[in-house]
Amino acid sequence: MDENHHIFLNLSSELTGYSVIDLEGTGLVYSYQKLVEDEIGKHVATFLYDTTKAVFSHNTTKARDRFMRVDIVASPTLWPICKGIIMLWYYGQWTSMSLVWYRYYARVPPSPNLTPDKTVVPSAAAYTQQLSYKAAGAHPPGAHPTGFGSWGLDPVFGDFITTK
Amino acid sequence: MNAKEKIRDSEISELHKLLQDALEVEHATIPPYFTAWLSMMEGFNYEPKEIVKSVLIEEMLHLTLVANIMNAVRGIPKLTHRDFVPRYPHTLPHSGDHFKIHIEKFSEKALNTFLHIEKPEVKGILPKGEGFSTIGQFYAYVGSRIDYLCDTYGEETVFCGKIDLQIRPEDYYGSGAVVVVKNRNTAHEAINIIAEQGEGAHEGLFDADRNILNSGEGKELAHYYRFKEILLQRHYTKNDTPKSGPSGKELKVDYDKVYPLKKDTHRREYPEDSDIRGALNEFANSYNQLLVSLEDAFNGNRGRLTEGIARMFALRNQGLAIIQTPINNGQRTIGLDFTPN
Amino acid sequence: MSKHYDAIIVGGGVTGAIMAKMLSEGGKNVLILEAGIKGAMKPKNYRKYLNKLYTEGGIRGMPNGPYPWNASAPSPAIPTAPNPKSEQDPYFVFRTEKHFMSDYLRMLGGTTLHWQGTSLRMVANDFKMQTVYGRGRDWPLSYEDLEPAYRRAEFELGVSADVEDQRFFGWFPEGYVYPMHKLPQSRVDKFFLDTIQDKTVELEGNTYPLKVISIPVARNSTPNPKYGIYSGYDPIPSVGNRDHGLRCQGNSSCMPLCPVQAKYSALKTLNGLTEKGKVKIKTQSVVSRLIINNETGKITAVEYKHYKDPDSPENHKLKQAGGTIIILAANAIENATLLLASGAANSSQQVGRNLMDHPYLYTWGYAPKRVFPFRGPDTTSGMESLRDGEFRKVHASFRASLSNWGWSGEPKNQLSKLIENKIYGKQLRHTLGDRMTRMVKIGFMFEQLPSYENRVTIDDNYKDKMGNYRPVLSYGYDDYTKGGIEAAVTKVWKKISEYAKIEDETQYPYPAPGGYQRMNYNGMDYNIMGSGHIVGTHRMGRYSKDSVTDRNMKAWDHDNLYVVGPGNQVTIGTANPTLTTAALAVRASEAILKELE
Repeated sequence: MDENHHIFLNLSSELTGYSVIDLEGTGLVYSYQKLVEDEIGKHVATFLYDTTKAVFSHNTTKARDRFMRVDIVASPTLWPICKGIIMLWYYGQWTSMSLVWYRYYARVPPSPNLTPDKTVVPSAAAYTQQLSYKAAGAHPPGAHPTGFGSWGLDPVFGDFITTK
Repeated sequence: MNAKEKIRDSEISELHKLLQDALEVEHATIPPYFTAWLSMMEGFNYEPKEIVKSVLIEEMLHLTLVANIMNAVRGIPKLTHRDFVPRYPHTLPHSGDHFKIHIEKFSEKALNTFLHIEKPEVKGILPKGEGFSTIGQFYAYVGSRIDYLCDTYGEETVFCGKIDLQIRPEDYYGSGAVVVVKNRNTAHEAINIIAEQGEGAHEGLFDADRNILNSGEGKELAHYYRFKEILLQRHYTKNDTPKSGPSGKELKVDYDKVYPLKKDTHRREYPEDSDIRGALNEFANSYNQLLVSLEDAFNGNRGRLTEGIARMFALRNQGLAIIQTPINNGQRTIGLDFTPN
Repeated sequence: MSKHYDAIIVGGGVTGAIMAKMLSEGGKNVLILEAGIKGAMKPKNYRKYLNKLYTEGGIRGMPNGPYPWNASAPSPAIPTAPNPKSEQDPYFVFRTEKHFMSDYLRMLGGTTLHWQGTSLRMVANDFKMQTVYGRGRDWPLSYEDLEPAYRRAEFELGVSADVEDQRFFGWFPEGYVYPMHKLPQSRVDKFFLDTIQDKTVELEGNTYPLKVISIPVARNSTPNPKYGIYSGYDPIPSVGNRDHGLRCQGNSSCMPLCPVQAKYSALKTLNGLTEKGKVKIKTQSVVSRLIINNETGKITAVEYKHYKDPDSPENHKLKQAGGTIIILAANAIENATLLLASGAANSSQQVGRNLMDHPYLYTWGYAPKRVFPFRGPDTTSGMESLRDGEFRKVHASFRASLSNWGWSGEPKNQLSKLIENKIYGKQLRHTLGDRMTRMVKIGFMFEQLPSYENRVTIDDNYKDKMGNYRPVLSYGYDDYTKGGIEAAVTKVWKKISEYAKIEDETQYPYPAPGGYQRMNYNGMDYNIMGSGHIVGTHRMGRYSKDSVTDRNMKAWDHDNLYVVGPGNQVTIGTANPTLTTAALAVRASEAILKELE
């Protein structure tokens, strides 16, 4: 596995609160990694990965959390990307970075095909695999139904799969 | 209890044993069909996927019908005891030729196994040795035992179970219908549905026309011929025969749009504290929970069928997550393991 | 002119489908002219629309959302589901500041492709509002007159319900049961049943129970073996796949599209009709004018524009079709527009008048414990006890639909809020999970009185690209309706949230978001939506001078013209109108069959 992929996966896990295998189970990791890299460009992507790698190099959870807050959440360059990654996983939509971000924080020219602030659904699977419904023991409207009468019972879906 | 009653009781409990075996035969097809169905990626292979699903749903019906027969003869359908979910590769109980069924992705090879499972009964060929060469022969034998017991001890003696314990037609949905088994005739009706849906009626392609109101035409292609359609990538028409083969519209199959899941996965292949092991444990646990609710539903607690259905739908998501998870640098994905610890 | 038909039906929606079925069963030759495309009738297209739902991120509300825009037979668009094409090229023209906030779909199957499936009967007093409450008008029919047709309609739509629950307001014949048992009630319903079931509210000096009951829906559930009227009931599967749709499987997407077609749509009735040879369906055929014989007053033919490519409205062929009986079965707004365009049936000057809808309002909050919404059909129960009562002398009645789908705009709003507060990881996952599982929402749906001023007209300055008239609308709510809205929020919701210990999160932001409009009454502001319940534009009546049709929906002015649909409703009451529409179609069919004998 290439290292950046590994870092992207771990960063996604840290941001979403879902384990690596939960994210891999969506079948979307590679396409999401590519989407984000294409959007922010090689230069910023390297910065994101290097920073993340440094954060994860700390041994204790406490230290990792602290550096996560300091180096990523507080960073006007990286946090907007992370917000986008969270929305991507949880809501299946990606909103392009703003011109302000490109000009002042990323300091790279936006890619020529970019429409700033435009929201897209990258694929049908992005919609059907969004995590927010999983967190609620539910499912996205129109996809992955729960079965006749299931709505009258406690859920056996997503985060509530083991409820009993 | 006199000697005669003793013989009677032991003959009836032999029937119970035979029906429990039937339950296991029906169930053993579910994990492989489920896996093949799930392995076809969303958005491709629409027709083959629907066909495999329709068979899968009917296997659930067969399971239900066998449970009803068991309840009718005062047997107790069991789905949760040790070894009910076999370890694959697996040989069907009573199968004469010992062919192996695997948990594997949808492929030509898997289809050939499925065809073997649903192979039509060949008239004139008697069961050889201790096993049967087709499921149809096995059920013919079950039917003959019921006849024998009714003739010997009387129908009321054999069919003395509580009707209330059975699943009713309105409880079940999917193609085909549940029969409430009350006597010898209805028991045969249930057995015929199972045999015909698998192999076809009267040596033809279809099951018998049960003239289901509103549902369109009553006849349905038997499982064997449904799988054959996929393999030959062509639909049967009403005028086709087993000999003529399918002459209808093309049925498109794309064997590449299938998750490359690892065959006959055993979770012990993965370290105990690994995420993969955890996910596989959870899946097997959910499958077991499904069987627990079904067993309860088959023993008079029909309300738990709803929970069983919810668990089936949940299992689809859980299974999909597993078979979408790459291993070996993305060359393969994790396979499914249904067997409890 | 080619073949002569016994009946020509304009519109392939629920009215047209049921009438075509009944007339053809009576041996009549029928032609259906549908303005839209065959669309969803083809299973491949249906799957395409479902995929569009995914790739557009799910579209809620009551939108034409996933269905393709058709320049030759345009449909109205509401701002909850912005469609770039329909925004550039709007269909409705508004004469009033307040807009009519409901849409309909011009495609084979009609708006039943994205209806909610709620199949309540109207309340007996809805038919005699003037006599009982001195408000609105009386119908030329009573509930009892329409009752047999309701039963047939419940068969045609395949309604699931518990008749004991429905007896609260309605009279049912002894021993009657619905075709299928009620849909299982949700965890959300059980929460309300546990907390408000025996509680009361005071309205205009009287005390009323807050009674939560299961609601009838045209959605496949467990068949009731006791259903005997039409020799039992087998749930009708989807068009194109017999294994799909035999039960609702909880896709939580009744609107805009049920993925498995467990919910009724007119496609189910239409499917198979053509095979029997008595019904011909011509899609992409926009009826533009009725041709009237000035001497007899009969409609001799209908003129229609047949197009090949929806994107080229200019390229159409003008055609005619003749029939013994002509039936307008399009949407209420379309029926009115066509009558006005033809100068037909309007001696009473009532065509296009009395346009009604159910103004719709949400209230919402957090339940004190998990109720697990976002699962199951949109709604399985309602608070139905305020659909009738003495208070109707003063203000509108209403029903409260208990939503199984959490709050509107979720999970997006919560997610954005949490992320803006720099919450991420496990904390995000658990906080979001906690909030989403406790969301409750009630949709209140209000009665509106018939008004001369709420109307559809046409104007030579406003035509669509094919050259047909666009509907020009004037619409608003009066104090009667506003009073109902006020009572619902300040009295009923207040009581419900107190009794159920709901953390009230209801607020109506300004400006109103897309799809809503602002309403002020007695110093309070509300954001109101439409319901897609388009009613009243060609009402029936006892007298030709103040109504468009008689009680059998035959136009007073033309001996062979029937105008059928929710447009016939004299009052709107509080029932979602599709079941009543189906019952009216049944009644009109019976009258036509008698006439053609």
